[in-house]
Amino acid sequence: MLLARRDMFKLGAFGAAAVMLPLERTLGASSSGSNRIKSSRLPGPFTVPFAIPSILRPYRQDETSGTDYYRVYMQPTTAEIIPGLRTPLWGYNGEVPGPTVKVRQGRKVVMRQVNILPARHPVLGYTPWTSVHLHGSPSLPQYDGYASDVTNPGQYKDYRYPNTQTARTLWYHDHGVHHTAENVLMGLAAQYHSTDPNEAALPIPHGRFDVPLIVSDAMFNSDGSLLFDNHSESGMYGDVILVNGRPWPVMKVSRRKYRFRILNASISRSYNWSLDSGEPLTVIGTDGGLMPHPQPVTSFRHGMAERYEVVIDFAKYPVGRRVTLTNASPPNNIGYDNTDKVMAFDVVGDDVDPADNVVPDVLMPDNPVMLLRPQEAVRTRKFDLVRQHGKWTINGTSWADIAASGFTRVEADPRDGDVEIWTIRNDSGGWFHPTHVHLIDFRILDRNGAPAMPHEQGPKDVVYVGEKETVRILARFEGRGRYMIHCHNLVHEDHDMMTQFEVLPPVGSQVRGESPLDEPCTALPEAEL
Amino acid sequence: MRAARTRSDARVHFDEGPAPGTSAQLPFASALSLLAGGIHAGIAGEHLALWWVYGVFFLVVAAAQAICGVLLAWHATSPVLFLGLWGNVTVIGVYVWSRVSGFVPPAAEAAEPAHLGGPETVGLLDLTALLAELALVAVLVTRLDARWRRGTTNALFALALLAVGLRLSGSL
Repeated sequence: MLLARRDMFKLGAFGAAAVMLPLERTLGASSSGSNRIKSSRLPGPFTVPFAIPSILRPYRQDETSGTDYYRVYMQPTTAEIIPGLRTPLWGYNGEVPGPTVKVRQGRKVVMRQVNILPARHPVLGYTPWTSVHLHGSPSLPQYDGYASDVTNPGQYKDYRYPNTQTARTLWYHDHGVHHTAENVLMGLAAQYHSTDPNEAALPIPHGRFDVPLIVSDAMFNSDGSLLFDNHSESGMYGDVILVNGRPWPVMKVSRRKYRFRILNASISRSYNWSLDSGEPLTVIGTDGGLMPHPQPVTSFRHGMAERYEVVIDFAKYPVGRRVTLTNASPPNNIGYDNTDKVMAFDVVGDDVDPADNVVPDVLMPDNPVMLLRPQEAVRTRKFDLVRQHGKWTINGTSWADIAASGFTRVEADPRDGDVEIWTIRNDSGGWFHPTHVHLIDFRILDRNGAPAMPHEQGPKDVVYVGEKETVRILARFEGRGRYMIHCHNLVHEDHDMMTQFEVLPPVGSQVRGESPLDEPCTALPEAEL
Repeated sequence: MRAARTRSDARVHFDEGPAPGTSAQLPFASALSLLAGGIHAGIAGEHLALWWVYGVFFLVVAAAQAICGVLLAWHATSPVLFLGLWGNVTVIGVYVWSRVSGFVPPAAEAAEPAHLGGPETVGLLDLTALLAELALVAVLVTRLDARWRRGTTNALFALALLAVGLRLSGSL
């Protein structure tokens, strides 16, 4: 029996809808720049003033327990990054980057994170669940931002941070499984500074001369919205360099020393910093806080999630001089016209405050991590960073394997107090993998048999493992429970270069750590904080 | 005055026997159903690993399409044709929803919650299954008698308009 023409039309419409709607969504989600904004519409470098993220104030303080309570809402916002266009973003309290938290060592923090993001990502369509990781904190497993401990829109979670760590630059950012890259690109990242008596007493720059620099990169559509292209799950690279959310900003500085807390919050881009003047940058701190001794370098490599505290002395320049922070891109990044520039400093005044204008030769000589010796190690473990069957893996394991095991499978199981050497190897010729080990600080023993680079000679929690590099790190594992190890190229992390280790109780104890999934989020409305 | 519809008139009527020039339709429909069922069976395992509900869904669909394929070849009664048509329309609907909007079941139950929250991407295998199901639906529509065929194509057209409308409004 043949169909009438009108029946064929209706049947065809049904078939077309069934085929085209899924294809439209898939092709739209993987859009690779067909609607990319013309470079002529991008702001020119060094035309936008510099800005510093706001400071987050506690919602409540309890002096009895020594606890500060914060309330943060993950919510949509917009910003004018491209002149004349509004870019839809997501921010902690609607700010991009999010507000900075400042705490003293030993002061406990409870941070309520409320997810009031929309039910769907406006472009990619996924459900924006989140998991907030305070990067650099020895948090308990259930407060560490475990990737699969997700908070969906309409839910919240109270994270508890002990702040036992030494003074350092931490950052809090999204870690939700499989969508960390998109969520961080949308704006869910911010700094968190902890101080301690040693750091506070040093005559290094403090206060308004202690400046956060959150560096990221992004690409935009012609309507100003963010363009998502993960290059077949290899990485996201932007043609606009942002510092604290501003494109290639200009900062006015006085003729004195400034301390910059540089966080590479890019999704996949690494940098190699230098000043166009050729003068050195003095590295005083790394991920885990102050180095034993300052390290003057004319350039240094900076992978994603690494933090370096750097002092630049503008007293060397006359008033009116512009000094530019430049980026000689390390291998395996995608460069664009102006990704070799980052920001500029205009030297504008002589009104020098003489306080805290020194970099002493000794900063923190007794950091326990830096005093560790390889002879203390009770075992050595190997971690191979490889791509297998299109999946990014660590020792052939991906987060899908961890999930399939009910989150019980571990790649390493040191005991509480054990010192271990971990050998991390990247045999590939086309990728670099900044590798983050949660919970602990470590020190880099060597890279391809050579000593750690000068700027890395401090306590670390992320190590840059470049192509054909083998890095040995040394750490003492203190704590209990399961924690993640992953590549901090967030696209690699999302697809699925993440595994975990468990710190077991010491011999003689049976008390295991709590599960990272032990304290799930709560549905709104909020309970009292 | 409109004549009262008899009980037998009101029941869906398919042409169960081969009409002139259509003798290959039912074997073709059977092959399409078996192809779609085979694809669903082949990927049931990996979906079972993600979430048991996924796995059960794929196994049920695979079994139903396999049975449908056999019955279309050997016992193509009107109920079989009716269930085959609307069963596949339902599977197509679930597929479109999974690729455009995605499903959000309780994350705690899923081994891999991320795969359950967002739209999945279109792949060669699932597109093959979809095309087989669409062709199967088209063949089964041709087996309807004229009155039921008109109503069915109207319903399918309405479903297409609804889906496009929901997509344009941002609801899908």
